[in-house]
Amino acid sequence: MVRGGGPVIDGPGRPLPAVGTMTRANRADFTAMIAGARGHPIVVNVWASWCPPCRAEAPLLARAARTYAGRVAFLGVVSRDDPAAASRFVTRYGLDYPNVVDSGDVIAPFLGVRGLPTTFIFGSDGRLRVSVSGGISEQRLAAQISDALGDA
Amino acid sequence: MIDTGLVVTIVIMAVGCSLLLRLAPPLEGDRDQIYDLATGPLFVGIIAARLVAMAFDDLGRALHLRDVLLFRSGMEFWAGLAAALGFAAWRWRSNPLPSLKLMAAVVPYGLWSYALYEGTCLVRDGCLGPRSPVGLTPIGLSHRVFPVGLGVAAAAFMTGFFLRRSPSLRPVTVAAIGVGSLATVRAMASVWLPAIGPSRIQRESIAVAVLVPFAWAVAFLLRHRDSAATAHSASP
Repeated sequence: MVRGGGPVIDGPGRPLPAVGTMTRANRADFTAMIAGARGHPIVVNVWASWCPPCRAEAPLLARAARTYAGRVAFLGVVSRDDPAAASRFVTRYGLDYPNVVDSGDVIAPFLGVRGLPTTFIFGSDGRLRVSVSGGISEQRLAAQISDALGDA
Repeated sequence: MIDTGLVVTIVIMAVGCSLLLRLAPPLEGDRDQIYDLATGPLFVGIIAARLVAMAFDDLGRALHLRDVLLFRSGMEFWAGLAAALGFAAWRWRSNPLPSLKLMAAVVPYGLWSYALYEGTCLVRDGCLGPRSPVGLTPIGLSHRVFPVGLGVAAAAFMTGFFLRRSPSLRPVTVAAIGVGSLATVRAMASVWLPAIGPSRIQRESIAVAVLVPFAWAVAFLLRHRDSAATAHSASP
Protein backbone atom coordinates (compact mmCIF):
# COMPACT_ATOMS: atom_id res chain seq x y z
CA MET A 1 0.00 0.00 0.00
CA VAL A 2 1.33 3.40 -0.97
CA ARG A 3 0.67 6.45 1.18
CA GLY A 4 1.36 10.08 0.48
CA GLY A 5 3.74 12.47 2.17
CA GLY A 6 4.02 13.44 5.80
CA PRO A 7 5.81 15.65 8.29
CA VAL A 8 9.29 17.11 8.14
CA ILE A 9 11.83 15.56 10.47
CA ASP A 10 13.90 18.44 11.78
CA GLY A 11 16.31 19.22 14.57
CA PRO A 12 19.99 18.63 15.20
CA GLY A 13 21.48 15.99 13.00
CA ARG A 14 24.04 13.25 13.42
CA PRO A 15 25.74 11.05 10.85
CA LEU A 16 24.45 7.65 9.93
CA PRO A 17 26.21 4.75 11.67
CA ALA A 18 28.99 2.87 9.92
CA VAL A 19 28.08 0.16 7.42
CA GLY A 20 28.28 -3.31 8.93
CA THR A 21 27.52 -2.22 12.46
CA MET A 22 24.19 -3.09 14.04
CA THR A 23 23.84 -0.40 16.68
CA ARG A 24 20.70 0.10 18.74
CA ALA A 25 18.75 3.30 18.13
CA ASN A 26 15.80 4.94 19.84
CA ARG A 27 13.42 7.53 18.46
CA ALA A 28 15.73 10.47 19.16
CA ASP A 29 18.66 8.70 17.53
CA PHE A 30 16.55 7.92 14.49
CA THR A 31 15.23 11.46 13.98
CA ALA A 32 18.76 12.82 14.41
CA MET A 33 20.00 10.44 11.71
CA ILE A 34 17.27 11.54 9.31
CA ALA A 35 18.01 15.18 10.07
CA GLY A 36 21.72 14.52 9.60
CA ALA A 37 21.11 13.12 6.11
CA ARG A 38 19.48 16.39 4.94
CA GLY A 39 20.80 17.48 1.58
CA HIS A 40 20.20 14.03 0.14
CA PRO A 41 17.02 11.99 -0.16
CA ILE A 42 17.02 9.09 2.28
CA VAL A 43 15.35 5.71 1.90
CA VAL A 44 14.42 4.09 5.21
CA ASN A 45 13.49 0.41 5.12
CA VAL A 46 11.95 -1.18 8.21
CA TRP A 47 12.52 -4.93 8.11
CA ALA A 48 13.08 -8.19 9.94
CA SER A 49 14.96 -11.30 8.88
CA TRP A 50 11.96 -13.59 9.54
CA CYS A 51 9.66 -11.67 7.17
CA PRO A 52 9.37 -13.24 3.66
CA PRO A 53 8.60 -9.98 1.78
CA CYS A 54 11.66 -8.44 3.46
CA ARG A 55 13.79 -11.24 2.04
CA ALA A 56 12.16 -10.70 -1.35
CA GLU A 57 12.92 -6.98 -1.57
CA ALA A 58 16.40 -7.11 0.01
CA PRO A 59 18.27 -7.72 -3.28
CA LEU A 60 16.45 -4.75 -4.84
CA LEU A 61 17.39 -2.42 -1.98
CA ALA A 62 21.00 -3.62 -2.08
CA ARG A 63 21.15 -2.90 -5.82
CA ALA A 64 19.50 0.49 -5.40
CA ALA A 65 21.94 1.49 -2.67
CA ARG A 66 24.87 0.65 -4.94
CA THR A 67 23.30 2.39 -7.95
CA TYR A 68 22.55 5.64 -6.09
CA ALA A 69 25.63 5.66 -3.83
CA GLY A 70 26.64 9.22 -3.02
CA ARG A 71 23.33 10.69 -4.20
CA VAL A 72 20.78 8.94 -1.97
CA ALA A 73 21.26 7.69 1.59
CA PHE A 74 19.83 4.34 2.69
CA LEU A 75 19.07 3.28 6.26
CA GLY A 76 17.69 -0.04 7.43
CA VAL A 77 15.73 -0.28 10.68
CA VAL A 78 15.58 -3.79 12.14
CA SER A 79 12.28 -4.27 13.91
CA ARG A 80 11.33 -7.06 16.31
CA ASP A 81 14.21 -9.28 15.35
CA ASP A 82 17.22 -10.99 16.84
CA PRO A 83 20.27 -8.80 16.11
CA ALA A 84 22.39 -11.86 15.30
CA ALA A 85 19.82 -13.08 12.76
CA ALA A 86 19.62 -9.55 11.37
CA SER A 87 23.40 -9.41 10.97
CA ARG A 88 23.35 -12.69 9.06
CA PHE A 89 20.60 -11.25 6.83
CA VAL A 90 22.69 -8.16 6.10
CA THR A 91 25.64 -10.32 5.12
CA ARG A 92 23.58 -12.74 3.06
CA TYR A 93 21.94 -10.03 0.93
CA GLY A 94 24.95 -7.73 0.79
CA LEU A 95 23.17 -4.74 2.31
CA ASP A 96 26.10 -2.37 2.21
CA TYR A 97 24.28 0.53 3.83
CA PRO A 98 23.79 1.37 7.53
CA ASN A 99 21.29 -0.61 9.60
CA VAL A 100 20.15 0.06 13.15
CA VAL A 101 18.14 -2.03 15.59
CA ASP A 102 14.85 -0.49 16.73
CA SER A 103 15.67 -0.49 20.43
CA GLY A 104 12.56 -0.87 22.55
CA ASP A 105 10.34 -1.04 19.46
CA VAL A 106 9.81 2.72 19.31
CA ILE A 107 10.89 3.73 15.80
CA ALA A 108 8.35 1.56 13.95
CA PRO A 109 5.37 2.93 15.91
CA PHE A 110 6.73 6.48 15.51
CA LEU A 111 6.77 5.98 11.73
CA GLY A 112 3.31 4.41 11.75
CA VAL A 113 4.51 1.03 10.54
CA ARG A 114 1.57 -1.38 10.23
CA GLY A 115 3.42 -4.35 8.81
CA LEU A 116 6.82 -5.42 7.58
CA PRO A 117 8.48 -4.44 5.41
CA THR A 118 7.70 -0.76 5.08
CA THR A 119 9.82 1.65 3.10
CA PHE A 120 9.84 5.41 3.69
CA ILE A 121 11.35 7.93 1.33
CA PHE A 122 12.34 11.29 2.75
CA GLY A 123 13.24 14.22 0.55
CA SER A 124 16.46 16.15 0.82
CA ASP A 125 14.58 18.61 3.05
CA GLY A 126 13.74 15.87 5.58
CA ARG A 127 10.10 15.74 4.57
CA LEU A 128 8.48 12.32 4.36
CA ARG A 129 7.38 12.00 0.74
CA VAL A 130 5.86 8.54 0.64
CA SER A 131 5.61 5.25 2.50
CA VAL A 132 5.12 1.85 0.89
CA SER A 133 4.13 -1.11 3.03
CA GLY A 134 4.26 -4.76 2.08
CA GLY A 135 7.23 -4.68 -0.26
CA ILE A 136 8.28 -1.99 -2.70
CA SER A 137 8.53 -2.63 -6.43
CA GLU A 138 11.53 -1.65 -8.52
CA GLN A 139 9.37 0.74 -10.53
CA ARG A 140 8.02 2.49 -7.45
CA LEU A 141 11.44 2.76 -5.81
CA ALA A 142 13.06 4.10 -8.97
CA ALA A 143 10.23 6.59 -9.58
CA GLN A 144 10.30 7.85 -6.00
CA ILE A 145 14.06 8.26 -5.94
CA SER A 146 14.03 10.03 -9.28
CA ASP A 147 11.30 12.32 -8.01
CA ALA A 148 13.18 13.05 -4.79
CA LEU A 149 16.42 13.71 -6.65
CA GLY A 150 14.59 16.09 -8.95
CA ASP A 151 13.87 18.28 -5.94
CA ALA A 152 17.42 18.14 -4.63
CA MET B 1 -0.44 -8.63 5.28
CA ILE B 2 -2.89 -9.22 2.42
CA ASP B 3 -2.01 -7.45 -0.81
CA THR B 4 -5.43 -5.98 -1.60
CA GLY B 5 -4.27 -4.63 -4.96
CA LEU B 6 -3.26 -8.10 -6.09
CA VAL B 7 -6.52 -9.62 -4.86
CA VAL B 8 -8.53 -6.99 -6.78
CA THR B 9 -6.41 -7.68 -9.87
CA ILE B 10 -7.13 -11.42 -9.73
CA VAL B 11 -10.87 -10.81 -9.29
CA ILE B 12 -11.00 -8.36 -12.21
CA MET B 13 -9.05 -10.77 -14.43
CA ALA B 14 -11.32 -13.72 -13.57
CA VAL B 15 -14.56 -11.76 -14.06
CA GLY B 16 -13.23 -9.98 -17.14
CA CYS B 17 -12.14 -13.22 -18.84
CA SER B 18 -15.51 -14.83 -18.15
CA LEU B 19 -17.31 -11.87 -19.67
CA LEU B 20 -15.07 -11.78 -22.72
CA LEU B 21 -15.62 -15.49 -23.35
CA ARG B 22 -19.38 -14.87 -23.32
CA LEU B 23 -19.26 -11.70 -25.42
CA ALA B 24 -16.79 -13.07 -27.95
CA PRO B 25 -17.09 -16.88 -28.13
CA PRO B 26 -14.01 -18.78 -29.34
CA LEU B 27 -13.67 -19.40 -33.06
CA GLU B 28 -12.36 -22.95 -32.47
CA GLY B 29 -13.60 -25.35 -29.83
CA ASP B 30 -16.10 -24.19 -27.24
CA ARG B 31 -15.96 -22.18 -24.05
CA ASP B 32 -15.43 -25.22 -21.84
CA GLN B 33 -12.51 -26.34 -23.98
CA ILE B 34 -10.95 -22.92 -23.64
CA TYR B 35 -11.41 -23.04 -19.86
CA ASP B 36 -9.94 -26.54 -19.74
CA LEU B 37 -7.06 -25.52 -21.94
CA ALA B 38 -6.28 -22.35 -20.02
CA THR B 39 -6.67 -23.41 -16.37
CA GLY B 40 -3.89 -25.98 -16.06
CA PRO B 41 -1.31 -24.02 -18.08
CA LEU B 42 -2.20 -20.88 -16.13
CA PHE B 43 -1.24 -22.50 -12.83
CA VAL B 44 1.83 -24.19 -14.31
CA GLY B 45 2.90 -20.90 -15.88
CA ILE B 46 2.49 -18.91 -12.67
CA ILE B 47 4.43 -21.42 -10.56
CA ALA B 48 7.17 -21.75 -13.18
CA ALA B 49 7.42 -17.97 -13.53
CA ARG B 50 7.79 -17.60 -9.78
CA LEU B 51 10.35 -20.40 -9.39
CA VAL B 52 12.51 -19.11 -12.23
CA ALA B 53 12.42 -15.59 -10.75
CA MET B 54 13.55 -17.01 -7.43
CA ALA B 55 16.30 -18.97 -9.14
CA PHE B 56 17.60 -15.67 -10.54
CA ASP B 57 17.25 -13.75 -7.26
CA ASP B 58 17.88 -16.15 -4.40
CA LEU B 59 17.51 -19.88 -5.01
CA GLY B 60 17.74 -20.69 -1.28
CA ARG B 61 14.33 -19.09 -0.70
CA ALA B 62 12.67 -21.61 -3.04
CA LEU B 63 12.75 -24.04 -0.11
CA HIS B 64 10.31 -21.83 1.82
CA LEU B 65 6.74 -22.16 0.58
CA ARG B 66 5.72 -18.75 1.94
CA ASP B 67 8.51 -17.14 -0.06
CA VAL B 68 7.49 -19.01 -3.22
CA LEU B 69 3.91 -17.79 -2.86
CA LEU B 70 4.97 -14.12 -2.70
CA PHE B 71 4.03 -13.59 -6.33
CA ARG B 72 4.14 -9.83 -5.99
CA SER B 73 7.87 -9.97 -5.42
CA GLY B 74 8.66 -11.06 -8.93
CA MET B 75 7.86 -13.49 -11.71
CA GLU B 76 9.67 -14.31 -14.93
CA PHE B 77 7.02 -13.63 -17.56
CA TRP B 78 8.57 -15.42 -20.53
CA ALA B 79 9.61 -18.47 -18.53
CA GLY B 80 6.03 -18.72 -17.28
CA LEU B 81 4.59 -18.33 -20.77
CA ALA B 82 6.94 -20.98 -22.19
CA ALA B 83 6.04 -23.40 -19.38
CA ALA B 84 2.32 -22.73 -19.87
CA LEU B 85 2.52 -23.30 -23.65
CA GLY B 86 4.59 -26.46 -23.18
CA PHE B 87 2.12 -27.83 -20.65
CA ALA B 88 -0.84 -26.94 -22.90
CA ALA B 89 0.75 -28.71 -25.87
CA TRP B 90 1.41 -31.81 -23.76
CA ARG B 91 -2.03 -31.77 -22.12
CA TRP B 92 -3.90 -31.44 -25.43
CA ARG B 93 -1.76 -33.64 -27.63
CA SER B 94 -4.63 -36.13 -28.16
CA ASN B 95 -7.42 -33.59 -28.63
CA PRO B 96 -9.66 -34.08 -31.69
CA LEU B 97 -8.77 -30.57 -32.87
CA PRO B 98 -5.17 -29.92 -33.89
CA SER B 99 -3.50 -28.57 -30.75
CA LEU B 100 -1.96 -25.63 -32.52
CA LYS B 101 -5.30 -24.54 -33.94
CA LEU B 102 -6.96 -24.70 -30.54
CA MET B 103 -4.06 -22.93 -28.89
CA ALA B 104 -4.29 -20.22 -31.53
CA ALA B 105 -7.95 -19.77 -30.58
CA VAL B 106 -6.80 -19.02 -27.01
CA VAL B 107 -4.32 -16.32 -28.07
CA PRO B 108 -6.85 -13.41 -28.16
CA TYR B 109 -8.09 -14.34 -24.67
CA GLY B 110 -4.52 -14.54 -23.44
CA LEU B 111 -3.87 -11.06 -24.78
CA TRP B 112 -7.07 -9.72 -23.24
CA SER B 113 -6.19 -11.31 -19.89
CA TYR B 114 -2.82 -9.63 -20.04
CA ALA B 115 -4.52 -6.34 -20.93
CA LEU B 116 -6.73 -6.69 -17.85
CA TYR B 117 -3.66 -7.37 -15.71
CA GLU B 118 -1.81 -4.31 -16.99
CA GLY B 119 -4.94 -2.16 -16.79
CA THR B 120 -5.28 -2.89 -13.09
CA CYS B 121 -1.99 -1.12 -12.40
CA LEU B 122 -4.31 1.58 -11.08
CA VAL B 123 -5.17 -0.54 -8.04
CA ARG B 124 -1.73 -2.04 -7.46
CA ASP B 125 1.24 0.29 -7.38
CA GLY B 126 -0.12 3.19 -9.38
CA CYS B 127 0.48 3.35 -13.11
CA LEU B 128 4.04 4.57 -13.29
CA GLY B 129 5.99 5.76 -16.30
CA PRO B 130 8.07 8.59 -17.71
CA ARG B 131 7.33 12.23 -16.92
CA SER B 132 4.66 13.58 -19.20
CA PRO B 133 2.58 16.75 -19.52
CA VAL B 134 -0.52 14.58 -19.71
CA GLY B 135 -1.21 11.53 -17.65
CA LEU B 136 -1.68 10.58 -14.03
CA THR B 137 -0.02 11.71 -10.81
CA PRO B 138 0.48 8.54 -8.76
CA ILE B 139 0.43 8.84 -4.97
CA GLY B 140 3.76 10.04 -3.64
CA LEU B 141 4.97 11.63 -6.86
CA SER B 142 5.04 15.35 -7.49
CA HIS B 143 4.62 15.23 -11.26
CA ARG B 144 2.45 13.67 -13.92
CA VAL B 145 3.60 10.47 -15.60
CA PHE B 146 2.48 8.65 -18.72
CA PRO B 147 0.72 5.50 -17.43
CA VAL B 148 2.72 2.87 -19.31
CA GLY B 149 0.59 0.03 -17.94
CA LEU B 150 -2.55 1.51 -19.48
CA GLY B 151 -0.78 1.94 -22.82
CA VAL B 152 0.34 -1.70 -22.74
CA ALA B 153 -3.21 -2.76 -21.84
CA ALA B 154 -4.63 -0.86 -24.81
CA ALA B 155 -2.07 -2.36 -27.22
CA ALA B 156 -2.64 -5.93 -25.96
CA PHE B 157 -6.41 -5.52 -26.12
CA MET B 158 -6.34 -4.19 -29.68
CA THR B 159 -4.00 -6.97 -30.86
CA GLY B 160 -6.35 -9.55 -29.33
CA PHE B 161 -9.28 -7.88 -31.06
CA PHE B 162 -7.46 -7.95 -34.41
CA LEU B 163 -6.58 -11.65 -34.06
CA ARG B 164 -10.14 -12.53 -33.03
CA ARG B 165 -11.40 -10.77 -36.17
CA SER B 166 -8.92 -12.54 -38.47
CA PRO B 167 -10.06 -16.18 -38.66
CA SER B 168 -8.24 -16.79 -41.93
CA LEU B 169 -4.81 -16.43 -40.36
CA ARG B 170 -2.84 -19.65 -39.89
CA PRO B 171 -2.34 -20.83 -36.28
CA VAL B 172 1.42 -20.30 -36.45
CA THR B 173 0.85 -16.75 -37.68
CA VAL B 174 -1.66 -16.07 -34.90
CA ALA B 175 0.77 -17.38 -32.28
CA ALA B 176 3.66 -15.39 -33.78
CA ILE B 177 1.63 -12.18 -33.90
CA GLY B 178 0.39 -12.74 -30.33
CA VAL B 179 3.78 -13.49 -28.80
CA GLY B 180 5.66 -11.04 -31.01
CA SER B 181 3.35 -8.14 -30.28
CA LEU B 182 3.46 -8.92 -26.58
CA ALA B 183 7.25 -8.99 -26.64
CA THR B 184 7.43 -5.74 -28.60
CA VAL B 185 5.01 -3.94 -26.31
CA ARG B 186 6.72 -5.24 -23.17
CA ALA B 187 10.13 -4.29 -24.56
CA MET B 188 8.94 -0.75 -25.30
CA ALA B 189 7.24 -0.52 -21.92
CA SER B 190 10.30 -1.78 -20.08
CA VAL B 191 12.37 1.01 -21.61
CA TRP B 192 9.88 3.63 -20.43
CA LEU B 193 9.19 2.22 -17.00
CA PRO B 194 11.28 3.53 -14.12
CA ALA B 195 14.05 1.05 -13.26
CA ILE B 196 17.19 0.86 -11.20
CA GLY B 197 19.78 0.37 -13.91
CA PRO B 198 19.25 -1.93 -16.92
CA SER B 199 16.56 -4.43 -16.00
CA ARG B 200 16.19 -8.11 -16.79
CA ILE B 201 12.72 -7.42 -18.23
CA GLN B 202 14.27 -5.13 -20.83
CA ARG B 203 16.85 -7.68 -21.96
CA GLU B 204 14.42 -10.60 -22.07
CA SER B 205 11.61 -8.81 -23.88
CA ILE B 206 13.95 -7.38 -26.50
CA ALA B 207 15.44 -10.85 -27.05
CA VAL B 208 11.98 -12.39 -27.49
CA ALA B 209 10.89 -9.59 -29.82
CA VAL B 210 13.89 -10.39 -32.02
CA LEU B 211 13.53 -14.17 -31.79
CA VAL B 212 9.82 -14.43 -32.63
CA PRO B 213 10.02 -13.19 -36.26
CA PHE B 214 13.07 -15.42 -36.70
CA ALA B 215 11.19 -18.46 -35.35
CA TRP B 216 8.21 -17.61 -37.53
CA ALA B 217 10.44 -17.40 -40.62
CA VAL B 218 12.03 -20.79 -39.80
CA ALA B 219 8.58 -22.35 -39.30
CA PHE B 220 7.44 -20.88 -42.63
CA LEU B 221 10.50 -22.20 -44.48
CA LEU B 222 10.17 -25.68 -42.94
CA ARG B 223 6.52 -25.83 -43.90
CA HIS B 224 7.33 -24.65 -47.42
CA ARG B 225 10.07 -27.29 -47.73
CA ASP B 226 7.77 -30.06 -46.44
CA SER B 227 5.05 -29.02 -48.91
CA ALA B 228 7.56 -29.03 -51.75
CA ALA B 229 8.87 -32.46 -50.72
CA THR B 230 5.34 -33.87 -50.51
CA ALA B 231 4.46 -32.51 -53.94
CA HIS B 232 7.70 -33.91 -55.37
CA SER B 233 7.12 -37.42 -53.94
CA ALA B 234 3.51 -37.43 -55.10
CA SER B 235 4.39 -36.58 -58.68
CA PRO B 236 4.73 -39.61 -61.11
